[in-house]
Amino acid sequence: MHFLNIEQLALQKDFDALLPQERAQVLANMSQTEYEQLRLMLFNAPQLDADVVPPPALKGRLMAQMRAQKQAPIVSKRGLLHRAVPVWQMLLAAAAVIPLIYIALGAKNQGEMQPITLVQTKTDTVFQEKIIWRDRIKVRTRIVFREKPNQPEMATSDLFPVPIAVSPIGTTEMNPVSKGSSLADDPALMGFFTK
Amino acid sequence: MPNSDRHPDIRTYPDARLMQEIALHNNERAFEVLYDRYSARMYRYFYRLLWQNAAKSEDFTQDLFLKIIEKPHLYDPSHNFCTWLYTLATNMCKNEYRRKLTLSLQETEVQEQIYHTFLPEKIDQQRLDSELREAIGQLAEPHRQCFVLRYQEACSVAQIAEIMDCPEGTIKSRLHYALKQITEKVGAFYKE
Repeated sequence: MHFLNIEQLALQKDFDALLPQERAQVLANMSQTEYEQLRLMLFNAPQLDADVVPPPALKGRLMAQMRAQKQAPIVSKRGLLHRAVPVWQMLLAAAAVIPLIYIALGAKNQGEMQPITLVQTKTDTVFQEKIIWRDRIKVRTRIVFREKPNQPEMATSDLFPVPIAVSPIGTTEMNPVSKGSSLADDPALMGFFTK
Repeated sequence: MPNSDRHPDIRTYPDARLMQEIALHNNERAFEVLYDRYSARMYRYFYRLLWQNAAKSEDFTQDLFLKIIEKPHLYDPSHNFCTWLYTLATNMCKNEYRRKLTLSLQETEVQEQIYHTFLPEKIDQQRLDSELREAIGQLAEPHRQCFVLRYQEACSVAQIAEIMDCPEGTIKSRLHYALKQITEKVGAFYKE
């Protein structure tokens, strides 16, 4: 049996009033004398100092404090709201506040953190650049002149084995230094045009 | 017009509602009702825990109710007001124990000397009360607080656990130890 149950029993019943089962449970934990002492103590403990009361002056002090607490905000309201303030003072105060607001806002803007857009590139394909070394190829065009051996001029007879009969066009022999015949000098020639 | 006419039902208000009145409207009458309900109880609690020192008990009771006046918002209405009040009072006592630790030890030594040199043949009610008071006073602080809350202030084990911020098992253990100690000490003097 837990001691709290014994405690409840002790508060309710005298040892002699306990049922046999309850008595057995109590005796398993303590003697009859101890039970009676516990019962005596439990009844006496709440009575100890029961007649002690706070002094009446205490209530008076606390109520005064409560009144002071209640009046404190009212006094403050009257002081702020019902006090006559000249118009020029109000305007001056307002004018003094405006630069302060600008300064405060400026400082705030300066102090603000600017958002930074971060572009994070995601690459899913990797190109690997590979350097391939190659031999440099130089192309040079070389003109080679080969000396040809002097071949003997072919004889006309070699080209034309059969002799060709060449009839002279004119009677006039080809004179390489001749500049030609004038129409006036050669009537036959003139006749060629006039026929 | 008397206060009771202006607030005809305020005496029947629950504690939480009275605290709300104090917090929102600084309602004097609400405070007065709370004071009337708990002042004697709290004064007695301080008296029992602070070595039956009347002046100290008065100061502590005043400080406790000043907390209600000045910081009523500290009370959480979801909790039992009485438990909250006992918690505040217990914490105040703990602070006092820490402050007076050295002095308290000296007082205990003196009390113990008297205790061992006093062996009466027969104890009457007045003497029994005296011995019981001494036996309670000799308990260690946590055990004494548990004992006072349980057997003198009639708090439940769950309530004590909340006040002392301890598991219920710890409270039961302390109560068991305290009862055993007190019964033994008082029993040594008690003779029918």
